[in-house]
Amino acid sequence: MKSILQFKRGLIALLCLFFLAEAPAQDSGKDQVGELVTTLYFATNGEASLAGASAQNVSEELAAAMRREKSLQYKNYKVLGKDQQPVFRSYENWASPLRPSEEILLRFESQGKALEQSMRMDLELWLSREKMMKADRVLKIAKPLFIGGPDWRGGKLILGVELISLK
Amino acid sequence: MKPDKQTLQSWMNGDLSGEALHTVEKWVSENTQELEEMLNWDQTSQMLRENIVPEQDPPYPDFFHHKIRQSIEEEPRSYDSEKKTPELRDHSANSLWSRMRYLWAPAAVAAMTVCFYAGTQMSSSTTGSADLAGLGGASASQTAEIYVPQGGVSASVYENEQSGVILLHGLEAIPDAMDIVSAAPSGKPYPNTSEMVLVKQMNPNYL
Repeated sequence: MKSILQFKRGLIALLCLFFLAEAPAQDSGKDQVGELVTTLYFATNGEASLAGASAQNVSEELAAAMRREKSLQYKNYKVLGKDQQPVFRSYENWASPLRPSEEILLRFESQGKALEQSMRMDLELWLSREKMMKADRVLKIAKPLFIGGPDWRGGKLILGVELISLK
Repeated sequence: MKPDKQTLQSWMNGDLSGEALHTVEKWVSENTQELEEMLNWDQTSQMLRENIVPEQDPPYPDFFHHKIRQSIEEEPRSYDSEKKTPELRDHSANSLWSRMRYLWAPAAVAAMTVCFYAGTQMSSSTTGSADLAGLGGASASQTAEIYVPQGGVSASVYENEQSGVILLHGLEAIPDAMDIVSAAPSGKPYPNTSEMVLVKQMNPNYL
């Protein structure tokens, strides 16, 4: 009788261990380690209204910052769309500044532990469902990366990528 | 004055006369012992000439001399190879091995270190060449590695304190008639961006 009782206790202990082992572990890879903002700009020396009625103006500060770079010097800048997405610890994420349009997308993924003000990231620019560029780059907070893309309506589409926070 | 050998020979043959005879006889009377030695040498030489066979070449002299020269040339080599017996050779090899065996461990460690370093260098150089290929000859930045998969497309990287710029060249222009802001998603298979976590691909940097 006593041995049967001991056997039952042992069996219960084994079952508990089995279920504990099978319990879903917390996936730390989904932890948010930062936030990324992608903004699609339309830069042109022509008529800015060609960007469409929904396009928004760019602040003078940002326009001046873009004009400082010779390759981005245009007369007018418009914002076509913006998307803010979390950066996961070990999973990729996608930003679609023209949501719901998927004409222009940015795939991003952290490539290492975040430093105090920067993070190495893997960036991919997708245009019309085709990967156009892949970059391994260190993004710093308050230091945007501008990706000069295709021409459109006499101007150029520029994708701004900025790391706005790190955790 | 000592007379020469020919004069002495003439004196012994009785061919001298006059002043020459007088001079030789005077020298002989004063150097009797030396004259005896000279006469002995002459007799010895005469005896040797009469009893030793004149120099003769052996039969087939060219062949004989050739074999002699060949033997002389081969002698040092055969001496070196035969000088060490198998036991001696084994002993010397063992001695060399015993001296070298203490060097094997540090030599192996050094070789592994060199291989490890070479491996890291090869990995770095591979990455660099891929970047250059992707840039298509454009200027590169120290902080960016660019890969452009589409043919005919290249990239330039610019950097300043306020921002960074990657400029893509050779992209096909988007048709003006296309309203990219409101373009509807097509039916092609594509990640659903609204789900955020799309392809669960573990990042090896965290593993």
